[in-house]
Amino acid sequence: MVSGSAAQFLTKTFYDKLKEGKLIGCRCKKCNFVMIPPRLLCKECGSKDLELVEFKGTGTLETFTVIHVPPMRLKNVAPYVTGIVKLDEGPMIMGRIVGVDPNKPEELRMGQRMQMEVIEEDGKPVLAFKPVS
Amino acid sequence: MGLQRGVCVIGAGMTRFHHKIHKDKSGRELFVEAALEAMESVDKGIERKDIQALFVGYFTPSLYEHQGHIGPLVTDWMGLTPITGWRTETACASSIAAFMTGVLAIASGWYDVVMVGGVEKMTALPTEGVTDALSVAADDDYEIPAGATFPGLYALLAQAYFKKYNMTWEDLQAIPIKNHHNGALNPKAQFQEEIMDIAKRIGQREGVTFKDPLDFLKSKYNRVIAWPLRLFDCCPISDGAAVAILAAEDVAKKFTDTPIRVAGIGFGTDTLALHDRISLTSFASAVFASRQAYKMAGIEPKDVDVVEVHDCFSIAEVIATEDLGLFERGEGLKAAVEGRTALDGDRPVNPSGGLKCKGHPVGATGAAMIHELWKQLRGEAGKRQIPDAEIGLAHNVGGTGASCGVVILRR
Repeated sequence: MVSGSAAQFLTKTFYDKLKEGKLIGCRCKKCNFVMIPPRLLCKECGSKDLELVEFKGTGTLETFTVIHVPPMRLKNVAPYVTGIVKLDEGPMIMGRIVGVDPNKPEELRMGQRMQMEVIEEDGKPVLAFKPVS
Repeated sequence: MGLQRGVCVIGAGMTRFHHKIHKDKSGRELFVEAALEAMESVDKGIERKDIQALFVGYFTPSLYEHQGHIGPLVTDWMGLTPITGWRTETACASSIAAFMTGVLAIASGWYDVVMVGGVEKMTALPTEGVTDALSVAADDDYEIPAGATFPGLYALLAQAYFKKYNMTWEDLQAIPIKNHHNGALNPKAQFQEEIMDIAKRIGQREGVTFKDPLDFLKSKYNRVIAWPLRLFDCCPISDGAAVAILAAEDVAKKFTDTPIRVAGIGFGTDTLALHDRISLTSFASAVFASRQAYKMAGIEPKDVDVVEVHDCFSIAEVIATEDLGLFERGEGLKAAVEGRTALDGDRPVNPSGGLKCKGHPVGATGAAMIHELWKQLRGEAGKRQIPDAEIGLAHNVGGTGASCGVVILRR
């Protein structure tokens, strides 16, 4: 658990920490609501009394797709898998799904256990998850 | 709570939506084309000097045409300066926001007669460029890095829906098959062809035969865009504009003996990021907007005769019909499979052919829905007319439901 001033509850902090392999969000000290990514106000009760939390990076696959028509910058990466993972701590987050064959989507199933991984794209850290065998 | 002063639609017009025929026209020119048709549709005539304000929806003019400041650009091109005018932007719901701005301008007593509409000139960019332009409606910090595209985001919703309600992609094909049937009856539609006719045309070219629409839709000729969604699950890239003219109820008779009344409006928002939603099978913004509009109109979902919903992707139509309360949760797709949303069904949805076939120049779509309801409620919708339609509803979504506007019109 990392505590800090409001200046820390930023997208920049999320990606700085992700670069170090850490997945962070925040918890509301007033109502206990846990959020990812960090925000300046509690999404649930509006309180400013928040603290940064680090997630374990494990969870289950809520839903996924295989992108065959990509945005321009991912032209050479497609096809690839993108999905939403429900973290064990509660909130959901979107990420790239790696360690699977995008041409065999039927081998991936919703509800599957996932573990976070950080990949790099254009020098930037990208949140990814891979299936836990 | 209702409007303090009644507002009516007294005219509506639109360009045909298309990916080829408007190649040489810019956004401002498309808007003028639709505006002139809207003015010509006013039964007792209207002059430019009658129009006191103009609100226009256009999602990403800066990306498509390297042009901002669209409000005065269209008041100028209409020869209407110095009247009030500005652009509204709520992604793909941009022109329903323009419509509502016009309603508010009249209901507040500011003006009596207002022009509202929308436009998008999409073919200025290649497909990947359009994919990028559309993607600014998603959360750029947290969804885009994951590789999300709009077809991809809707594919995530489709997968969640299939799992929750034990339905399949094959079931979902009832939506494009139905919308192609309707689009074939709409002279303004981008695609005016049944899926089986398209299958026969491609089959002849490729030397293959398809035994039914599903046989074609499952073939390699319907390529995967974002699994499990394929090309025919997605609305096309289109150029086009649509315009409506609004007047205060107390002056509407000067322009027409059959004004179409704005009975209810509603607008809701939600998180841009899908992963922050409570549900992946419903848009809270649409539920909020529709309940607000129903309440203002004093009606229930069962009272609506004709519905235009935002089927940017096949699954979106299913979610829409459930969010609007036309069907119970988990029953929307079953209802479509059973033919209940067809032109001759008990709950006709998207008689225009929907975004899938009418086309989806994003900033023009909400206004084009108003154009279809205007035609339907006046009994002027030709072969796709819903008999005796009295109450119509338009449901216009921005992004994956982070914005949703609902308008209820009444004859």
